[in-house]
Amino acid sequence: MNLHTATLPSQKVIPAQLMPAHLTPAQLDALLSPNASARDAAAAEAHLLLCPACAAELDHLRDSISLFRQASSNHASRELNNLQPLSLPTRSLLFPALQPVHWFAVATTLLIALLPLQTFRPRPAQFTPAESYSVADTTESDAALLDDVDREASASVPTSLQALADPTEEDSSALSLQAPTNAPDQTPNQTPVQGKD
Amino acid sequence: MSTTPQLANTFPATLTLASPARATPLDDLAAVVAAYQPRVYRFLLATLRDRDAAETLTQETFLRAWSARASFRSDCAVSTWLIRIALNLARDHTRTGRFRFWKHLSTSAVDVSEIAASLPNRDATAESNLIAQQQVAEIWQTVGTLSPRQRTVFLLRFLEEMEIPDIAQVTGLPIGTVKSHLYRALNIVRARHNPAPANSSARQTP
Repeated sequence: MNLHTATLPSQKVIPAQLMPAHLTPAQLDALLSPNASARDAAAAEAHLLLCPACAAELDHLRDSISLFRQASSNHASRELNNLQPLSLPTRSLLFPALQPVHWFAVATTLLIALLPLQTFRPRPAQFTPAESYSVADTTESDAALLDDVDREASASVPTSLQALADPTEEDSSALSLQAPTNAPDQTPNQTPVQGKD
Repeated sequence: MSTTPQLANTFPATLTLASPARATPLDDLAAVVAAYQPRVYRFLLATLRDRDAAETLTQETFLRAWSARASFRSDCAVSTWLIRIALNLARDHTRTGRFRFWKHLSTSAVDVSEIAASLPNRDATAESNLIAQQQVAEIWQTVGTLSPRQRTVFLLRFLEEMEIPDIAQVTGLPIGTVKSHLYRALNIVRARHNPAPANSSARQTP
């Protein structure tokens, strides 16, 4: 059927230029809504008398939406009847309560995550008695060595009060020969000091 | 519509004893649940299309309403206030990725055949009943394709039969925006359910 022509109940054909515009969404809403204002509905119903296409469309939509409302209501009522009694929630759905197994899982996860950090953390130097003893021995040996060096150095220089060696003893000639080279500043009364090993 | 007392029985009587200083219509929670639970559950079921989520959020709606009953002002109906709480909960619920994930795996999702089979018994032929079920299924599927705001406005208008100012109050949108979403939703529905699709090109669009 041509939308721009329509027939009245008296079968009189209305030309397209005299046909009003089709239903707007606002008019359709006013006709579909059960509590629409009478003024909006009356203006739209005047168009329906002249436009069978809109009338058929409106009937189809009104029937479909009414059936949809009935079916949704019946389905919701039936679902509510089938519901088991529920306990009052203690927490919000958005922040569900944690069960003990959840706490255990959280603790295990934290433990696993922190274990590598504890393992690879740099440790401070620890005191060991063996190392301390070795350090102490080394210090003492060094001190003893220095004392020996000092003693040798000081001993190599003859003092004026040192007693003369006995010329009758062995190797006296050798010592007398070495005396000028070891102590050139010695006085004639002094005898060269017997060299140390 | 028959009210079901299951959820109403779950709320302990002690909740009705501790009333705030100013008496509100929500003090008797069991009575409020018995009166408005079917409507809230129906809206959430049509919005979320998941019976478990609708059941949980229905319970949460009444719990929050009772907790915030001191802030209830009598400038709107109790049902409007409850639907507003339910809508906010549904928005928060659907925003999460968890909802989208479980929606695909959930066994509690409402199937279109369940809705179509929920039509009341009519004294009509089997063929007309079949056509009616098909009409319901088409509307259900089309509503599912609407944007969230269009779907909300459409359901509030044609399922809950609310007035446009009430829908604006529930959704927090201006009245003009509500009308815009409603008319777009209507255009989509009428385009898919026009008995003469060949004539749809001649329809006036806003």
